[in-house]
Amino acid sequence: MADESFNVPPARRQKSLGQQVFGFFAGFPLAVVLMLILLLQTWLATLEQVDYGLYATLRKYFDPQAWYILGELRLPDFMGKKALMIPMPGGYWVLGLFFINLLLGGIVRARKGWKKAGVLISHSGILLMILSAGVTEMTEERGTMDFFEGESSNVAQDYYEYVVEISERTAGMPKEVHVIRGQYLNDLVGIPAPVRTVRLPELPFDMQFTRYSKNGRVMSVNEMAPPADAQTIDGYYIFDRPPNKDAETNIAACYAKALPRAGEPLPSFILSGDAFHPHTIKVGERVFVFQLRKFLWTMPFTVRLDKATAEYYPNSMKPKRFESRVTRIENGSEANVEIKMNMPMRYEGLTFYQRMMGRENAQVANSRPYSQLEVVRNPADQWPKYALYIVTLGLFVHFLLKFIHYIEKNTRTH
Amino acid sequence: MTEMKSMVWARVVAFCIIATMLVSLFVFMVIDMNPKGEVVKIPGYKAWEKETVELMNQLPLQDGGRVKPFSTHAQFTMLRLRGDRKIEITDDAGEKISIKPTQWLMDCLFRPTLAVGLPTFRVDNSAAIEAIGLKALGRRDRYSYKQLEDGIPKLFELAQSYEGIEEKRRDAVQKQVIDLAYNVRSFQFLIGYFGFARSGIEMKGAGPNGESRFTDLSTVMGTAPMIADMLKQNQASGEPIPPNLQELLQQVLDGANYAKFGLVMLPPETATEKDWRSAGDRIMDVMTSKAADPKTAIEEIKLIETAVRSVGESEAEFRRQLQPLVKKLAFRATQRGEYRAIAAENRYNQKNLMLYAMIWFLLGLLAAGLYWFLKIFEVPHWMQKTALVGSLLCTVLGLGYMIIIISMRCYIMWRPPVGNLYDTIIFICTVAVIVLLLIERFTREAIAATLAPLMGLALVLLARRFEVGDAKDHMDPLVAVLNSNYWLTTHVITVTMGYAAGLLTAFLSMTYVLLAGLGLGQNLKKLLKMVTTAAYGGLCLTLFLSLVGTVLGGIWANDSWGRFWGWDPKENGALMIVLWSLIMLHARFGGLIRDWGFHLASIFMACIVSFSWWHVNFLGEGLHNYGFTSGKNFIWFFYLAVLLTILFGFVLWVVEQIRDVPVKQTSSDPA
Repeated sequence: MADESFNVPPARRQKSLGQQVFGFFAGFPLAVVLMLILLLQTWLATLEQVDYGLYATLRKYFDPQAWYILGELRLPDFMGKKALMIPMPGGYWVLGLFFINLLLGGIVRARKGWKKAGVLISHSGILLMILSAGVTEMTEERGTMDFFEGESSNVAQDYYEYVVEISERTAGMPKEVHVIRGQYLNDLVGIPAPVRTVRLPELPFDMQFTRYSKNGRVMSVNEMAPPADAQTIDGYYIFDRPPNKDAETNIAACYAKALPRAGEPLPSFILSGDAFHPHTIKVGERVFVFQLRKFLWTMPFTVRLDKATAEYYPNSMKPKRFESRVTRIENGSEANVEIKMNMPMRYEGLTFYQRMMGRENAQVANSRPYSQLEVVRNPADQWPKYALYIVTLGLFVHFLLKFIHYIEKNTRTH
Repeated sequence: MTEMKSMVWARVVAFCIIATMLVSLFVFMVIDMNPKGEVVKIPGYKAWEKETVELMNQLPLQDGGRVKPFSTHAQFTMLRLRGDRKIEITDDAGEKISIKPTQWLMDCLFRPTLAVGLPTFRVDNSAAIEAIGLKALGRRDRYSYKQLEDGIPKLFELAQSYEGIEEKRRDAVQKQVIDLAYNVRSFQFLIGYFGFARSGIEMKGAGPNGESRFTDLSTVMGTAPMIADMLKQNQASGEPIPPNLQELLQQVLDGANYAKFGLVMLPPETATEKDWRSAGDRIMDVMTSKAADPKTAIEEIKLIETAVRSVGESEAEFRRQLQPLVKKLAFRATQRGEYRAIAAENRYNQKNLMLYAMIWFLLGLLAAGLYWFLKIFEVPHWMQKTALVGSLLCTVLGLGYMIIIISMRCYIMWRPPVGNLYDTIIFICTVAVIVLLLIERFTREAIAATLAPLMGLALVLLARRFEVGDAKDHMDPLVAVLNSNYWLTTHVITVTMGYAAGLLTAFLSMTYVLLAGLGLGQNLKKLLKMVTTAAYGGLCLTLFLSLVGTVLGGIWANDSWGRFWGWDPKENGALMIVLWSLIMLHARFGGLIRDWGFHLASIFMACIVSFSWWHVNFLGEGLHNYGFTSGKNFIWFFYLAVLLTILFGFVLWVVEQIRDVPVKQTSSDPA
């Protein structure tokens, strides 16, 4: 009844333990189970992002530190406002195992021959695709560059990562900027929160941080009474708010303390992402300023915004064309480039995309226009494209061969 | 043999009963979803003549970011307010008159006293009518402006208070009140649009004997420089504006304000300007000395006034006066290169091609049903063949109409065929029918030939239903990020074809369950094998198209937004189709499922495709979100129907296993 490709492989002789392990990791059952889990995770993550936002959902499902997760399935309103919790392995590890399964089963163990060439090619393409996702996850940097017409910039601001910047002031100007990255702060949460000391050998003090809040607001005790366990400094404390759905709008805050290696200890202070002014301390005769802000990364060249054009369809607010004409300045030489929707600028491993457009004052038609570019550094930027070519070729070859085989068989039968 | 025949009879009867029950349930649901729609009598109503309607349709308007004919604007305005494309009324003589969108909008603009009596407003929740202090008609019904008039202040008051509630938290009555308030406001703008032309400007005490004198607004516009001078002088001398001048200016302002919204019908004066102007805008441009060419502006307003006033004389006179206005505006639009597709769009609107496609698919389906009936009862072969050829012919004709629809839309929109959800329905319908006809070409078992008109009919019905529910012009231009003919041609078309392939694969598997379960067909084993092969081919096609389409989308996203994969619900849905296809193929190759398992999984593909294609739009998240909610509950019925089919198939499989156990034991006996 079934097509010949549907035939079940015949039973084989007894296998050694090694062969059995290999067989398990290279087998169809594992492939099917892993793909089922990935399907379920994709579905649940799609539904969950409506309630929790994209960033939080992806962190939950694909965090390398999460060995298992509890997927949440909200039942439709007519079935009562309930949610089912579904335990499953973490997506990051499922994908890793799937990579191994595909490599062993789809390449190493797969039958070789021109009839199976298409399958081998497409499996290789999928492997490249998963690999590119892994490389992207581990190495990608992403930020925004904002400027008004006529302005130049050579830095991009990270979307999510808050860092502590420390610089010494001499004659009112910052000297060298020392940066403590977000990875040293992010886990200082919970009650009681851990305390972390960061050694800064180049400075006359070390730093101590605690009670990091991803989305904290500095509150006056007069404004709202602090919780019993809150740490209050000069009548202020950090009110820990739940993270926003749009994670890039979170404003971080934490308690900090400088630990001078000599002299009197200094009092704790609060650092906040929306503080109007940096915090200043004096160690001996030297003045240092502290700031909690989004991480800034520097480009190897400068970009100047020459013209920002936002065109809308007539009599509507429907965008028709967003375009930034920029000049790329590097080592004294200049190059004019157009960046628009679907046409980014790729240069020296960085890609600049048109993200947003606006005016200094939205109510005033002739106020200065600005442009926001998204800046991405991703070595695997173009890999999915190459993977697509490989997969398409493989599937095309395979299904074409199958189709020709079917036609031949059909013709013989008739 | 007699026993066999009676078994076939029993199965056919059972099938017919089930099919009748399902169709009745569907028809009942459709009837319940639609308002009652009593035919009302409108005293003094006279239908517009065909020539007048055709002339009016030639008027170009700017709406939704593009220039379109009056007929399109009328159609979608009427759909938004009334949820239908026609109003049935009776005139003084009791004759039935069917009012189409263009006629309805002409009534609103030129005969507002009649328009207020037309049942224009669809209300799906009678509680909204009771909330504004009026007596409701049916649970779902349609109301005229006249019927709602007393409740309008309360309606606006309630709508304003409900708008403060977050959209997701509004209940059905609150949503209905807000919708109705917007619709009533739109209607008020329409009936008041040409008010300045009907009433003119009253100049109190300007007559020879101190009585009031009326003049045209266009005449007042001609004196705009003089008025401006007078105002300047007054300002310089510090004297107040004379009361008669103040009153005149107030009337001009009122007339211009009412004519500001509703119809953006006047092309701009300079070639560089993109925004067309409404009559109200033009009046104010001249009165505030902002018009680049006041002479032309005044001429246009004069032409409008002449045409509007002639309505009271005779229709022939109205047509005579309307012609120069339409000709002038059409000429200017042509000069600007914006009149290119107006005639084609008018033809598209008038021909109602979708209805013809639906009729042909329905006839194709009936003929296919007849073929199966004749085949089961073994009537002469030529009769069976005639029915089948008839079915194929009707399906091909239906397909022809779909191809014409897509081609005309491409020409009008000047872009590839798929750019929004409505486009996907008609495209999927066309692709699915073509693929099924191709499958029939290879298999020649009449299965695919039966499924083709069935899928065609279902999808055309869906398209019509969606257009009415959404009430938006789906030929409007696309936002900047989607406006790429290259990607619309590659990614969007490929993914959409993937949906089509996935759905038809599921349909083929449903056919397998039906055939196997009811034991229909003479050479059942051969037939089942053919369906399995076809479904397998469909699955391969689904995988190929969905995978390539999804990754192409990733590459597009990488060029537009700087990330290959953004976990957009639409992207995730496409990935789910890919994963399910791979799961099925690998489970089959690995021997984890056999024919029945394959087909039951394949039927489940319909749920996954529907989630990806349709359901994600209700989530309100992501860059592909079309932001509509109409038909939200239908999706659950669809899921339920698919799951019941799977359950039915599963029960049949269990029965088959139980029945086959002794047979297998016997056959596996080494003896």
